[in-house]
Amino acid sequence: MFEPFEYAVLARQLVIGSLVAGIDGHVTSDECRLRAALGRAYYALYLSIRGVIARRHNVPVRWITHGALHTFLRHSKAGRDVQALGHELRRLYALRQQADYEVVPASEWARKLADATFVEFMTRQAMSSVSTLERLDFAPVAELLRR
Amino acid sequence: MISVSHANPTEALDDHVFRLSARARRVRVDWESLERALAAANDEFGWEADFCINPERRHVSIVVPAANIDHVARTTLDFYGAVADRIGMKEFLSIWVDFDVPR
Repeated sequence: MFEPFEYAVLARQLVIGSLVAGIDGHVTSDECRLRAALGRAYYALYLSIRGVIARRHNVPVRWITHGALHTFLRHSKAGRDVQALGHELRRLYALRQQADYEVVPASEWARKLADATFVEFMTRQAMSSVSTLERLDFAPVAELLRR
Repeated sequence: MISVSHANPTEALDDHVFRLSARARRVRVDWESLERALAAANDEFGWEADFCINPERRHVSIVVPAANIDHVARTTLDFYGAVADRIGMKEFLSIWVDFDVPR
């Protein structure tokens, strides 16, 4: 089985590395790598949470969509630590949306999407959140997903 | 340092990266309590961060020294919990918290 945490590792590699090989005369910019890193950081966390819930509580993964997950994680029945995780997942989701879709972002976002230190910070936050999952109780969230 | 900024009166607050549901926007937040909660959590976790609160956007920007990003990353969820404990979880979830590093 593919381990989603590898996406977080890839995100860190994209931040600190460079892709110098040209493909048919095309090369990628630093911003391209950093945008990809933000997307991979988000997916590392989203897929890791999804996997824990599916495995522990037998919830079909197709029921654990992006929006449903960060909504139910923040539900009042979820418990403090899980709600905090939901807040973080939603934030990373918004960043991933910017990175993947906004080809002409507002100036504040343009700066962040090209800032390796900022993106490194975001990937570290995603990795740290993944490390907390095993100790969290997702039973209330699983119940909400089953409704 | 904690500062407060305000949205431009003509700004389209719904057309923003950090959109909130109408329900979230109706949650009443005591912004002074939030200031105190952020300051207390900043001290508790040693973040040495600066904060900029924008009540109209319901947005908090946390600027973290580059040398501290590893520590902040490892304590982010605990920080959230500490702030939520002080102002209420419903209130905390009704605002956006975003991060930045100094330019």
